[in-house]
Formats: sequence, C-alpha cells, structure tokens
Amino acid sequence: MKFVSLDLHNWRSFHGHNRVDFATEEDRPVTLLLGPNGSGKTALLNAFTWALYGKFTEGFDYHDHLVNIEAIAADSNAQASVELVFLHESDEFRVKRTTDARRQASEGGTELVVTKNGVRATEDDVHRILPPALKDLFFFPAESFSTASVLKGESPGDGTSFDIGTAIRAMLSGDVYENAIADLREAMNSNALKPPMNYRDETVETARRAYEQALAELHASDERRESLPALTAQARESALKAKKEAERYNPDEMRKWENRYKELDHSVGEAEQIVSRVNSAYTELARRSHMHFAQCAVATAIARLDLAETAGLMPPRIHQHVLAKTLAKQTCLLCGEHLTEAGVARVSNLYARVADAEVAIRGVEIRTRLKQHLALLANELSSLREEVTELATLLGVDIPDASSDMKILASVIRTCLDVADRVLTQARREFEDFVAASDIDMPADGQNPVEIAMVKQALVDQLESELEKIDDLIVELKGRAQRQFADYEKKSGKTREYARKTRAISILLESMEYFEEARKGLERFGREDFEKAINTTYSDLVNKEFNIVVGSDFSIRVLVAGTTDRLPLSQSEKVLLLIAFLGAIARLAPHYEKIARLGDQLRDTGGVETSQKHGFPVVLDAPTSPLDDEYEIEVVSALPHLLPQVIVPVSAKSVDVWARISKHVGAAYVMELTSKNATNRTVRWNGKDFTYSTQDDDVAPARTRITRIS
Amino acid sequence: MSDFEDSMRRLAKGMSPEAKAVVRYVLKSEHKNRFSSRSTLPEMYATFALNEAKSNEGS
Repeated sequence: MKFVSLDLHNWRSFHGHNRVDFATEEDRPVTLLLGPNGSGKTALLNAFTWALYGKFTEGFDYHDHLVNIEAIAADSNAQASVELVFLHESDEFRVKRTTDARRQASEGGTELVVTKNGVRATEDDVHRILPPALKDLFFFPAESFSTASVLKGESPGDGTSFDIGTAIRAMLSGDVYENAIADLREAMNSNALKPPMNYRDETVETARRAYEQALAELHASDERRESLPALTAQARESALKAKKEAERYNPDEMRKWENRYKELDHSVGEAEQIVSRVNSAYTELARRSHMHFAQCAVATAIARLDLAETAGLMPPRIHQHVLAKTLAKQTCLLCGEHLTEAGVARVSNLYARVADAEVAIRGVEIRTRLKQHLALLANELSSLREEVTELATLLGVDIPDASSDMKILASVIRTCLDVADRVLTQARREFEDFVAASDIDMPADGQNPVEIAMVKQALVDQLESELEKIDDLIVELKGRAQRQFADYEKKSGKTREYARKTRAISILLESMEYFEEARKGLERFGREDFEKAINTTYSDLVNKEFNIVVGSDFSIRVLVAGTTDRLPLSQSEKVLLLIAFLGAIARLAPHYEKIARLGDQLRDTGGVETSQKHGFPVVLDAPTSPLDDEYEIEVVSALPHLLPQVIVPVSAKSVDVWARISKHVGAAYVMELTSKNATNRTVRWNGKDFTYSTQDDDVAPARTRITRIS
Repeated sequence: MSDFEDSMRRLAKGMSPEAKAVVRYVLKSEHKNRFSSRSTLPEMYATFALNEAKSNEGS
C-alpha cells in the first residue's frame, strides 16, 4: 500500500487548495515537508487520521476549529475537506472527508465518501486495510517520540506503551475471533437454552446456579485478562509522566523524599511481614498443641515397655527354634560351645518364656513404632523451634534453648507477637508522620507530585502482579466451571428436552474453546512474527550485534547478541529502536492484511518474513525533534532504509542533515507560513532558496501554503 | 505445516462433530457480519447448537 496524494481544502491553517503528491519510487521513498513552527506539521499528520478515521492524535487541540478561519471570514458556510488517495495492490482508494463551519464542532458533523477504483465503497473497506487500532502507529506525532516508554524499559515488563497485542490482532482481523467468543458466551445464556418452562427440580436448579456462577466468575476474569495489558501499558505511561512531573519540583529534595518514603514504606511492609510470620507461627503452635500431650504420652508408654523388658516380661530376642536345637544338642547353636548344667537350665527357662510370650512380641513392635513416632514429633518440634528462634532473634526476644518444649515455645511466641505488634505500630506511625510533615515545593493545585507518582507506580506494580497471576486463576476457574457444568449436565439428564439444552451448551462451550485457542495463538504467533520483524528492521537501521526480545506482554528488551545482558543504547539508537518498532508493524501490515483477506490466520501467522521492500507507509511527525544535533544524522540516514514509503514533516532547523539523504527524497515540499508574528525567512534545498516564512500584518492568525520544491 | 496450524488441527481433531459444525457456522457468520449488526448472532448460535444436539441424539 502506498499513499499517492493528499488534497487539503481550507483545512486548518491551509487556506484554499493545497496538494501533496507523495514519493512512491522504491529507491526514493522519502517525502519531506519542511515547515516552520506553527505552519501545521502536526495538523498535516492529523489530516490523514481525520480523513481515514474521523479522529486525531493525542495532544492535537482545537478539534472543533477545522475550517480555515480566513475561509469562514469570507463565507460563513465555508467547507473544509481532506482527500487521501492510496493504492493497495492494484486498487485505487479515494477517501474524502468534508465538514463545514456550522457542523465542524458537532459529533458526526462530517461527510465521508470512499471510492474504490472509482466505484462507491465503504469506510470498512478502508479499515480492513488500515485498522483503526493502528492509527497511532502509522501516524506518529513528535510528542510521542520523547514520551514513548518503548525506549525506557529498564527491567522486564517495562518498555511497553502501546498495546501491540491489540494492534497485531487488529491487522489479522482477530476481532472475528473475539466477536465469536463474545457471541458464543451470550448464546449460552440465550432464552433458547434456559431450563424448560414447566420443569422444576431443586437439585437441578442448584446445579445450574452453581454452574452459572462459576461461568460468570470465569468470564469476569477472562475479560479482566483481556483488558489488563492495555491497562498496564496505560498505567506505565501515566506513572512515567507522573514521575517526570514529580522530578520538575526540586528534584534533589524530591529524590530524598522519595528515598525516605520508600525506606519507611519498606519498613512498614517488613513489619507487616514479621507480624504475619509470628501470627502464622502462633497458629501453627496452637494447631500442634496436641503434640505436647502426644509427646508425653508416647514417652511414658515407651518407658513402661522398657520397664517391662527389664522385668523380664518381654520375650527374649532369640528365636524359639534356635533354643530348641540348642537344648537338643546340648551345644550352643550360635557359638558351638557345649552347655553346662546351669546353661541348660537358663536356656530351658528362656525356651519356656518364649512359648508364653507371643503377646509380648507385639509390645516390642508397638514400642518400635512409638519410638518412630517420638522421633517424628521431635523433628516437628525442632522445625517449630527453629522458626521461633529465628523470629525471636529478629525481634530481640530471649531465644528458646535447644531443649525447649511446646510450652516454652508458646510462651516465647506470645512475647514475639507483642513485640512485632509494637514494631508495626511504630513503623506505621513514622510513615504517616513523615507523609504528613513533608515540606516540599508543591504545584499550584496543592497535590504532592511525588505522592501522585508513587500512587501511580503502586498501581503499575499491582497490575503487573495481577497480570502475572491471572492465567493460573483462569485455569483454576475454568476447571471449576467444567466440574460444575458436568454436574449440571448429569442432573439435568432426567428429561429429554432439558438434556438437549445442556448438551447444546456443552457444544457451545467446546466451540468457544476453539476460538479461545485461536485468539491465544494469534497473539502468541503474532508476537513471534513481531519479534522477528523488529530484529530485522532494527538491523537495517543499526550496525551493532544485538538481539531484541519481545516478552509475552510485548515488552521490548535489547540484549547483547548471544547473552542475557542489556545492550546499552545511545539516544539516537533509542529513537531508532522506536522507529524500528513502528517500521516492524508497518512491515508486517501488508502480510497480515493478505493473511486476513484470505482467511489464513491460523495457518500463516508465525511464519511471516518481513523486509524493507514490503511495508505500509508511516507518517513520522518531526522524528528528530527530541534529539541533540549530533544524533540527528544517524536517525535521518536510517529513515530511507525503513519502509518503501516514509512521509516526514519537519522543521528546517537541520535541513543540512536532511540534504545528506536528498538522493532518497522523492518529493520535497515547503510548508510556507505567513503570519503577523512570523519572520521573513528562506530555506535552501538542492542549492536553491525557497520562501519558508513571511511576516504579514494582514494575516491572522496564520496561513500555510504547500509548495513543491523538488 | 506451521506450529499454529498443527496445534489448531490437533484441537479440532479432538472436538465432537457437533462442535465442529458450530465452529464452521460461527466463523462464516462472524465474517459475514463483521462490519454490520451482530445482535441476532447469539440466538442463532444457540438454536444451531440445539439443532445439532437434537439431530445427534442417540448416535
């Protein structure tokens, strides 16, 4: 897909008719628009988004002042329009949006005409190619270059400010699968599948309610999982902005405040943990209080059995058969010695007691088991003692000695409990006092920017933790819903009609699982495609050994090739990473559009190979504006290698840098500004001077004329 | 065959014929109604599944 032309008619500061014909040649992919501040570079970017989506980029103001003011002065019904022509495959699309002075402020006050090869088409035909979810990626404003946190990831999970998962699914028409899931979910609750009208059975009703409850919980968690990545991305972005805002107010003081805040907050957290540990230990001791009695009872039983053995009430530890043979041969069967009379008498005595002592054998066995049990109890007691000792050490309480029994341990843990409560109360008081007494420079609204930043960061932490756990939670809820449904299906099988309905629900559930797997696959394999694409794109822009890893949450980390170490990036490399990120999406776009058109999502996603030769165009508004001069050259030199078409509105501040790539610039324009406040300036391009801005007291507030200069 | 395609085929292989029929029907309907109103689709799916359950009774 390539943009062919853009026609502006009385759009914002572009008075009258202005036209841009975009560069479309393979080796000259750049269309350069040089314009001073106030000439409407961002308005030009928004002319694209307004025409295609009826929307604007973030931070673009005065949405209700679209018609040129001079035009309204001449005609109160003046119209403004933007017409974008683009070629996709062999089809020519024309998208023209119009509004007028009266309707420009009202919602839906525009008219849209779309044609495909001269025949009337619909907005949807355009959105199939350029999905609305990708608006902010194909049309990228300057402000986003400095704030996009894709460049700022310091740890896993950081660095995502766009919901790439949604963008990828949008390109692959993933909404079809999402809609299918939502509709199947609703189908299960449809009237057609409600219990038969005249059927009442409390057992079945209870099973149905239990299943519906489990299903509702599962759906709620499913929806939460869907919204979490975007919420987390937003929260990260917002936390980053809040942090920047906080740093504006006396950064040193703020940092000190922040460190002390963190320290005290950490102390409270630690104290809470200790209290929780002591409470657990106390509960554990209470739960095992039986051990104390068991230990006493077992020890007493063993002592009594020992006594019985000493008293000769226990059987000898020699087999009856050995004694019988010894007596018969009058020789000890074990040592071979001949028996004396006394020996014969003793062995006879033993032999007689063996015969009587079968019951006592059981006593020996029981004693062995009791001893094993006693050892087990001792082990348990020992681990409890270890935990209590550790807690006592932490809290500065007297440590129980190695022979302490349950009673002593319980007494120590009670002391620990008192001390831990006191520590926690003190930590909380210190934290609250500190927050209340903070004396730092505050913004006008009186809100503490550091607190705001901390609250926003806490939200990020909470969302990230939720994101980490939600998959396991869903597996658990799914299992529960399946069990409840099996129970419901079984109980509802008493009548044919009812059984048919539950069977239909079961079929819908099975089908829904297919679509859920498809959706997950689109995300997983789409992520793999994106990872390959961003690596290829970045290597086209940066000459360095690296490996870009895209996390399951689409966070981006640049590692030293073959290692897990982060690669330090210069400022220009960071901007190039962002450009590569946009380029990767734009390079994937034509492949994904084709896959979606042919319905091959489940076959081809994950196997896409991208290159600079194929890619949708991007419009980058002032991409070098956040850079120091020394970095501009690298970024500007890289742009022609990004995509088959790149459109760049920039100021002429560093026109010399852009002149270095003039052989790749297929079309260059000046956005000439005329206004009361402008100065008379020219810009030099390809050795010729062109009017850049003109001072004119009669023009208020400003007028822009677009002129082709090469 | 790609990993994705392979995993989806394996999943489809283990599905009941009724569920497969529903999947085909849903896919076709969702594509057809992608950019138009989808409000009647859930009832249509429920009815379709019910008919599938009915026609396969005793099989």
